Amino acid sequence: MRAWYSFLKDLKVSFKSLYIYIEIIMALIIVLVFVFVLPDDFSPNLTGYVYISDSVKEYLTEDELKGFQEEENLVVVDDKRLIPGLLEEDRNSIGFSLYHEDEKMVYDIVLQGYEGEEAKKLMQEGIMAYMATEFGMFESEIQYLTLEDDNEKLSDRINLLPAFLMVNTAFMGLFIVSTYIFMDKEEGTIKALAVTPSRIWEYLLGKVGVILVTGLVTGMLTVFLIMGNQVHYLHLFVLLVASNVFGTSAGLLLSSFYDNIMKSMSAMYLTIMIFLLGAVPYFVPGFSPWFIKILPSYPMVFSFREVFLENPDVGYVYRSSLLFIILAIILFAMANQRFNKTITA
Amino acid sequence: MINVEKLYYSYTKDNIFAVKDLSFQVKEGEVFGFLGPSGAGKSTTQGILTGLLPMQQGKADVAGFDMKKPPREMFNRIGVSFEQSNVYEKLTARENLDFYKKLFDVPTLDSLELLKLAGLDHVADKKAGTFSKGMKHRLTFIRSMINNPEVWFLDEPTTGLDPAIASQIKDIIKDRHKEGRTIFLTTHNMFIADELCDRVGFIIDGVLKLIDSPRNLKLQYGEKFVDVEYRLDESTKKETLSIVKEEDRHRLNEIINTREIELMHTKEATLEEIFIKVTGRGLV
Repeated sequence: MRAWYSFLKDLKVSFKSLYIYIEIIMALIIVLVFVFVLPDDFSPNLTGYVYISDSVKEYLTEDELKGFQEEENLVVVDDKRLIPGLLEEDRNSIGFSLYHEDEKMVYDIVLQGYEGEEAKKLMQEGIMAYMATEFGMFESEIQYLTLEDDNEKLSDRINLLPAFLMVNTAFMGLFIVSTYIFMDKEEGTIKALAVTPSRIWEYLLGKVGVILVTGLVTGMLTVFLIMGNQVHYLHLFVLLVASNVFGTSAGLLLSSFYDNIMKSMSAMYLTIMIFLLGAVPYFVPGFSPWFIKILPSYPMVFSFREVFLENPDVGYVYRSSLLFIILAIILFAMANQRFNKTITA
Repeated sequence: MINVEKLYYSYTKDNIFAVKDLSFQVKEGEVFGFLGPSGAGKSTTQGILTGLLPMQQGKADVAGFDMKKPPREMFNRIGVSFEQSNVYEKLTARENLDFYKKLFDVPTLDSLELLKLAGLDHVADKKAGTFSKGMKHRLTFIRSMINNPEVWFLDEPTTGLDPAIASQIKDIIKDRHKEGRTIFLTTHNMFIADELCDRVGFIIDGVLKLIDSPRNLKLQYGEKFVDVEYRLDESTKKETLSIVKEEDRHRLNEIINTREIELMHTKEATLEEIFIKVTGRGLV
């Protein structure tokens, strides 16, 4: 019961301070960015400016030439000297000029300068294959085989949401709970609590509750405003609770080693950076070594992804949630033990 | 009510002790003043007796509870007022007390009644963060009474308060004393100690130098003289007379009976003077 009173008091204190409103406003800003700024598809819309010399045009039929002109993202220019100027105006573009010289098809590629060697090579091969096909030298036939048949994909925009939820619910909790603890230490209110029958775990549980409410409100609000009813809210709720409680418990344990927020900063920063590493394979699938896979943030970000899929792997979501809850209980118990010795020291 | 035996405490966990070989008892219903300058070991002793600091060496029990591992239930029977105010600044005075009430398993006092007692009822619903230092101190003070404690620890209860408020606080302490509460008062203010305490202990450099009642200390260390000023032939005369010598006592009697007395006071020593005599150190 005392944990409940402690929770209600902390909730009241947090609503009377600016922090909770800042977090809600931040969540609303994120919503605005997702809804109005981010496109569904992040693939670069590359424009190609093409000059085709008269000698090359002789080899093309009228339909083929028309095909070039109607090609999306391809702009045919009449003078190759226009290309550098057009590229300067549009940095997301490249230029080609095709002409015929000594019985050979010559193509010049004008690049921006930021493209790497691999991109240049890929472009060269691509153009050769395209030209060969266009000029009827050979026909290409490519088959795509994938390892996972039901590889459901999120849009690029929604694909960012799991990472945001991970940072917002788990890692912000880690940081914020520490600030609450250090604030109580600084104000001395922790000493006042220490001379009442209230137990340390009741005090800590009150803090966990406040961070959980904040994380749930901002997490659910963000997802609802961006996704509407296209989400499995029950799975999301369970996962938000588990990941938030895990992050907060980790923050409690960390803060039990320090007297004030300044001293704890390096450890906090390092912990958050290590946890963030777990999200790297989410954005760079080719990079997923074992030492990253064992970080709790690895299953966390992929579990958040599942709740946005039409056919989520529910077992994975709940197994991960259970793991976070177990870890949270262990971390909380350790934090409680440490605080029992150090909280008023 | 409080028993301390050969108590030692080191913050650095070595042979540099903040308190050493401390032994004393405080009887039920007694006001015991723990006096000493800053850094003498007063707050360390109080920290151990209130469970804020762990026991390292020695024995101590408070209200029958062993301080080696005090159960949380013990805190239903004690109250602690801190030197530094430590209230929730975002909460109102009433909210502060109402929250604190809920943490105890024993009947508690009414928040508004307590606020009235400290003259804070008119700001009951104002945030504590807007209070002056004195108001916050009073709120911290009355919070420590909320569970009607049997043993009441007061750390510098009147320090930094204006005389009127300090007097109010002293009256509350006196009332509780009359009700039979045991009070452990930590201070460096000898006048407060003199006024409120049944017995005082002088602590310096972590060592308890002396324990006795203020009266006994004054009798033992004070000078037994009286200064008297009286009118004689349109002018003021001053004499210092012994209250022990027969001859001086007669002279004093004569002056009282025949002259117009302007001023007369005994030259008893103050607790501060006695402290300096005993410890060789001042109180600042």
